[in-house]
Amino acid sequence: MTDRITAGATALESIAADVSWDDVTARLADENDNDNDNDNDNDNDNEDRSAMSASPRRISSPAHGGGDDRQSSRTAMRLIVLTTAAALLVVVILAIRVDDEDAGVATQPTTVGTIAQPEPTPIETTAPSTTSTTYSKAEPYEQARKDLLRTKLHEDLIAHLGDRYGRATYDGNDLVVLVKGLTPLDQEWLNTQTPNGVIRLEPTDISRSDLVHAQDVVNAELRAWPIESYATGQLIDPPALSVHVQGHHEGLEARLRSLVAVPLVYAEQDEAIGDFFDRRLPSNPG
Amino acid sequence: MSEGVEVRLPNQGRVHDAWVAHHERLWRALLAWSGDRDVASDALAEAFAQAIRRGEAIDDVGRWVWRAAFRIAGGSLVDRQRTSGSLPRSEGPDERILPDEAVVLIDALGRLGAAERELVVFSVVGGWPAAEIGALLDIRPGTVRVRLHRAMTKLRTLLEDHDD
Repeated sequence: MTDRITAGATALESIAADVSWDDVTARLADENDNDNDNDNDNDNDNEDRSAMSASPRRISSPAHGGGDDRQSSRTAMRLIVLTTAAALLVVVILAIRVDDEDAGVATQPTTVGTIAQPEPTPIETTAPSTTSTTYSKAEPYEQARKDLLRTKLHEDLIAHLGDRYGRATYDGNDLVVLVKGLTPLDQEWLNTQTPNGVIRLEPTDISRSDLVHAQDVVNAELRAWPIESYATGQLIDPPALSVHVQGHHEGLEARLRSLVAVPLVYAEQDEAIGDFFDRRLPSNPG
Repeated sequence: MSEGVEVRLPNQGRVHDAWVAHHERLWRALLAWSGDRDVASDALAEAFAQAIRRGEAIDDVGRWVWRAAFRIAGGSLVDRQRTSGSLPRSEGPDERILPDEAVVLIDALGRLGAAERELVVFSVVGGWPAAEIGALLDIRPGTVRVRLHRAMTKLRTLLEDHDD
């Protein structure tokens, strides 16, 4: 069936785009036209407003400062326009800051102005924790210490998982766990994880129910894992660790993902783990 | 602007290079994703126009226009749905021009979710590897592969149903 997909993609390649570079540059020209039109409209508006200011209710002769009145009216009108524009600008800026998904890209063709933030702004991730103690990442000693703790945690956890469930290694970036008990279909699924095989599964004689059970065991053991020993005596709330594996309890595939997601919390989400330790480590470890 | 005056911004040459490298592939990806030639063309042109306007603020024009074009196309689809009350995909791709194989694929893609469709289109039509897709969509490569695998499985099923 992949051939159908490939055939469709190949057929698509025979279709030429309906749009040319001239269409792009024409948009720029159109926008400049619109900008100029807007400027002209503003001029006309000012004239209209000037005419309105000379309405019967505001009859005055030049000798009585009528020119000053009109000038004041124009100034006031300009102030109103400027204030409104400034307020709109603030609203737009706030909207851009809030709407990170848009990453500064106008989703509708726009002809007025541009948005100044061209690239997505990374979202600050926060670890699942209720404590508020922060830790300065600028301190090299502490950073090295945290790295050591993290490495030690990786090593011990990998050794533990490896002993219990199969083979596990950590290549510095990814945790590789060889989990037993999978069908060839499961194997195929896992082979799509990464070209390097972040997670490798080996079909063995262990049943799927065993595997599901193994996932529960892993979760339970993680909850009981003596994380506090890595955080110099400060207890890390065990349920906080399990947050990462919650919500994956439907179906075998979801359970598989949950199973592999547990170690990946440590291996892949280094930022989250870093933040985790940031909050847990004492500020002055001595 | 008076007629005949060429608008040329400092960034235009760089964007044109990206146009040459990406526009055909990107347009086909947009077409496959939206099932609508007009949406694809409009999003493509608008993305490149916005890229020119943003000047040197954009580091990698090629990647940027891919992200931008799909967001613009997404906005267009939402707008059309909102105003017309029906999905534009209900009209389907232009069967008079598109080859049958492309129509079948686009039709099946239309029954995927927007995010799944985006992944498949980036991969199958755009030709981006998973790591690049992850960078484009700000998703971890491993997550891309998982989601892509699921989406491809679903797409195969849809194509099988189509055959039946």
